[in-house]
Order: sequence, then structure tokens, then C-alpha cells
Amino acid sequence: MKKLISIEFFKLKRSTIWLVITLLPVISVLWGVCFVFIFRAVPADIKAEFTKVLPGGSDTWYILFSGSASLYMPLMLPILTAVIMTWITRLEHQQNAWKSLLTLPVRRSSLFMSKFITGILLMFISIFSLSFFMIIAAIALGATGPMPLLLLVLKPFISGLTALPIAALFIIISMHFSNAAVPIAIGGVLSLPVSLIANSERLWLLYPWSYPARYALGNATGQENLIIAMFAVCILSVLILTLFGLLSFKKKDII
Amino acid sequence: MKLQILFRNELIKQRRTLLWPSVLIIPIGACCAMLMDMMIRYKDYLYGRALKNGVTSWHILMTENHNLLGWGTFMPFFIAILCSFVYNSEFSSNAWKKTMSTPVSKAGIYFSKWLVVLFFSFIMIILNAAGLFFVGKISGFPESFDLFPYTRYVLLQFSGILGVTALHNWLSSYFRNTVGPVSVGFIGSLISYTLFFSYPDYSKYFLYSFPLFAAKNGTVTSGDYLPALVGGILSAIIILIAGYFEFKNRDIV
Repeated sequence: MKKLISIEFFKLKRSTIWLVITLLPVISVLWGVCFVFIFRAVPADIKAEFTKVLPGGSDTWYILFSGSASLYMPLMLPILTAVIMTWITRLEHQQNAWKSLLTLPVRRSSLFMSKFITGILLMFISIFSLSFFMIIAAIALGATGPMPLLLLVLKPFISGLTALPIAALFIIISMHFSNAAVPIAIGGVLSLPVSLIANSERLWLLYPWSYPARYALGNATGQENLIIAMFAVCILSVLILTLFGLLSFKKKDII
Repeated sequence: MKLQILFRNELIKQRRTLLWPSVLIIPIGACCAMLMDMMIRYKDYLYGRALKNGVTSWHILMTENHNLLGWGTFMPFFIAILCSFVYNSEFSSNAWKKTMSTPVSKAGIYFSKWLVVLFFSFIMIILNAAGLFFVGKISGFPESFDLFPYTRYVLLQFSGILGVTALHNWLSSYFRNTVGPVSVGFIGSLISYTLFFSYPDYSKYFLYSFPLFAAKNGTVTSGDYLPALVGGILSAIIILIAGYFEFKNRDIV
């Protein structure tokens, strides 16, 4: 499995996917920096009102995180997941290489899992880039006080975990369709209502695309049960989808 | 060969592909999301906001669709997807050589594909606007439907996307990897979003932002829509000409 994953990364060595997964966090952090500048420019009385509403107060770390995550989690991460999963199956579809790949003495389940794990790793590289750029930007903006690593690293990481059902679904879809535009189109359509649904009181639980945004930006107070339910849905759906993907990939005729 | 025949042939090529379902599902999905939004927030919040701002519920619906849902933001991304569909048929069957060796002008091939992308984009925009009409009716808006702002909204979106269609028509013809141009469309859409809401003055010069100006604040006032109208048309002319010359001189190996 380790070797298969390293081969997957080898295939992506000169690919522009690296640019995509690192550029998107940069855009998000720039959006967060705009948030900080806007916040610093507002009059003191309005700032005081904001501070009451925002759980993290007027702290630069927190404002930067809120701004960056408000773009990354609802809009970027769900579509980026679809793009990554499409990208790692693209080569096989494009060069009609499934046949030769499956004639090699490699187990189909290992092949499927190596692609899935590679996709997840790329997703987390993007998430860690977000954390990294947020820290750099916050320091550059003169953020004071201790660095809130739980907010800047752990929260995005757990938000990434909540995106795993999307990843599991898109590895199946992208293996099924040879036209790369199909999974990305599906990803795009399903990501459209995220900002609407993530703001609802309970409806978001029914829509896994809103989980990363909800976890990163939502207020967990009074919603503990829903958060637990969300993780249960995540674990169950990842297990079911991975199993389904594995079985369908094993049975699939490659012609 | 006449452009009209080439255009028809391109449409035939797409007959059994997933392009048609995508063109239908994208605006229908957006309208379903808007219907849900209206069911949840219209009576409690949005109608009050419409009264406070002195606009109709129809205007609010347009703004919600364009800015909050992100229809205007994601439009270039969807266009990038449409372009990949149109060009995928050439790349997947390795048909470029064959297409180029037929007695058809390169201009005809290039512009017919652009027209097909434009045609499907227009269908998406029209379906979205028609869907919004039904959303408003189902939600029971008390005001009567005013056709003029919605017609203007459709036309401004159409002119706003001209440049993006021209750019992605070229990008999709150039890159064999279909995910590449789609990723460019995705990144362009997100940059347009950040520019439009944080630096609106700069976004007037950014190609991917032009569709966003089709419904700025839901009430298009004089000057607001100019980037969608002038920017879209001008950028389309420039990019189409430049793209065509590159395509004409390209070796298909």
C-alpha cells in the first residue's frame, strides 16, 4: 500500500495540482487579511458590538481565522475535494490505463485505497497550508498574545475530517466517469447551497457538504448533540461509501 | 463550411453526453436552493428587509440568488465545466488530427465551439431566471412580477460571461488535461468573489468578476452594470481574436 501511495505521488510530481492545493489557501488567507483590515477600520463602538457577538472577540488571530475559513470551508474545500479526486483518477482515464493497471499483480482493493488515501493526503496538505499561511499572515499583521494553535491548526484539521464523506463519494464518482468535467460539475452544484444550509439551525446536519463550514465557523454552544451526530454521520458514511466503492471497483469490468 | 452547420454538428456531438443533463441540473439545483432559502427566511427576515430597503421581494430574490447563493460567483466555474465537455469529445477520441484534416476552416471549428459554449451558457442563465420566477410564485410574493429587471439581469449576465467563455474556449482547446482549465475557472471565480466584495474597484477590471456586476445589490443603477456590459463584450473580442490566432497557428500532433 505504501508503495502504491508513493507511486500515486510520483504520478503527481510535475502536476499543477500542487499549485491548486496551495494557491487556494493563499486566496482564503488574503480574504482573511481583508477581514482584519476592515475590522481595524471600523469605529470603536461598532467594534465593541462585534466583540460581544464574536466568540473570539476582536483578537487578530480569531478575525483572521474567521475570514479565511469563511471562504475556505464552505466554498473551497468541498469543490477542491472533488477536483483532487478527479485529478488522481484522470491519468488512468485519459490514457485508458485502467486495463494495464489492473493486469498488474496488484490487488484492486489496494489500488482503490491508495488512490483514496492519496486524495485525502492532498486534501490535508491543502488544509495544513491554510494553517501555515494563516500563522504567517497573523504574525505579519502583528497579532499579539499566545498563538492559538487549537484554532489555527486543530480546528481546520477536524473540519477536514468532516469532509471525508465528500472525499469518499467523489473517489467513487471520479472512478466511474471518464470525463473529468462530470464529477467537478456535480461537486460544483452540490457546493452551491452550502452557505445557505450551513447557516440553518438544524437542516445542516442533513447536508454533509456543510459540515466543514459548520464545524469551523459555527457556534458549538448548545449544539453539542448535533456535533456528535455529525461525527457519527461522517464515520458511518465514510465506512459505507468506502466499502461500496471498494466492492464496485472490484466488480467493475474494465473494457 | 458554414458556421451554422458546424454549430449544428457540435450540438449533435453533445447529444448523448452528460452536457445536457449538466446544463439542466445546475440551474435547477440553484433554484431548489433558492426555494429552500425562501421557505426558511422569506417571511421572517427577507420580506422585512425588502420593505426596509424599499425594494420588492423579486429584487431580494435576485440578490440572494446572485450574491448569497453565489450564482454570479460560480458562473465562470460552470462555464469552464461546459467548455471541458465541449472539448472533451475531441481529446477523448483523439479526434483533433481528423477534425483538422477535414476541409473545414480552423476559424469555423474554433468559433462554432465557442458558439456552442455560449448557447449552453445562455440556456443555463435563462433556466435560472425562469426558475427564480417559479420560486417567487411558489413563495407567494405579494408584489407582481416585473419582467424588466429580470430581462436586464439575464442580458447583463449574458454579456458579462462573454469574456470568460472566450477565455475558457481557448484554455480548453489548448490543454489536454480537462481538469486544468476547470481548476483555473474555479480559482478565477474565488478571486472574483474576494475582489468583488473587498476591492470592488479592482474587480471592475477582472474578467471573472464581470458576471457579478449583473445584479449588484439587486438594483442595477447607472454605472454599476458597465463592467458586465462593456467589460464582457470588449474582453470577448480581444480574447477571441488572440485565441483564434494561436489556434490557427497551432500544430496538432
